Amino acid sequence: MTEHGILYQDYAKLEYGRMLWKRPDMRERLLRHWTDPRHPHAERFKEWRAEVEKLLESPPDSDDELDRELRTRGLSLRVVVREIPSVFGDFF
Amino acid sequence: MPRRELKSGKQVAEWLDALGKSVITPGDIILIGSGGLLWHAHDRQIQTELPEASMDVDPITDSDEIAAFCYNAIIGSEFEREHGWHVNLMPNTVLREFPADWRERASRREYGQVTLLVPHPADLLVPKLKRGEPRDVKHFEWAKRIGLVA
Repeated sequence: MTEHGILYQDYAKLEYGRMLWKRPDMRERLLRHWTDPRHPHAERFKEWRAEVEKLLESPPDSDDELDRELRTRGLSLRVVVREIPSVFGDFF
Repeated sequence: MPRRELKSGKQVAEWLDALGKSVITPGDIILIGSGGLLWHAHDRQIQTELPEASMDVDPITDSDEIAAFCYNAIIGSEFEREHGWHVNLMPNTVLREFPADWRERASRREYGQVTLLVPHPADLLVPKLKRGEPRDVKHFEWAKRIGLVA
């Protein structure tokens, strides 16, 4: 578990999501996947998309700052990281 | 259909060969978990199969190109359908589960533009033994039996 109480598997979605977000081809592919009606969390992603995109655009060393800011709004880094949808290889 | 899964170091080495041929920009990858143990066995030309096969390899990378390659082999992918195992990217922070000086004992190899770092088998076993699940204990016993650890 990370210092923000995030499971390693969940934090991997943030770490590699940030990395791939910088590549326009992969960003487009992730967005297409997460909004695909076959994705079980496509509707949920619609609700959280703004927060998730903000996280993925953030620099890797900004976790503390992000967590502080999110907590002022009743959220936390842990909560938003969990809203980064999984990627399913069968239709990614 | 016969069970395929991940049980031989050759499978890991072939995947790393394919990665090395695909990646254009220099990048690093660290292999942990049973995939790392299997890599060590293959590197020492030990063909003994892992007693309880694994379903994935756990790499860590700081390269977006390597990460993209790994995403094409995630759970449910065509790669998994073909090979019977998948790639499960782990975050860099997981390395804190290893002894602080693990890099000093790690093995390093080049696969094309990719630099592979594999912690020493004794270090790879530290988080497994901490977890202590039956298959982790079996992997420890296997590593000991084939001489990866004393």
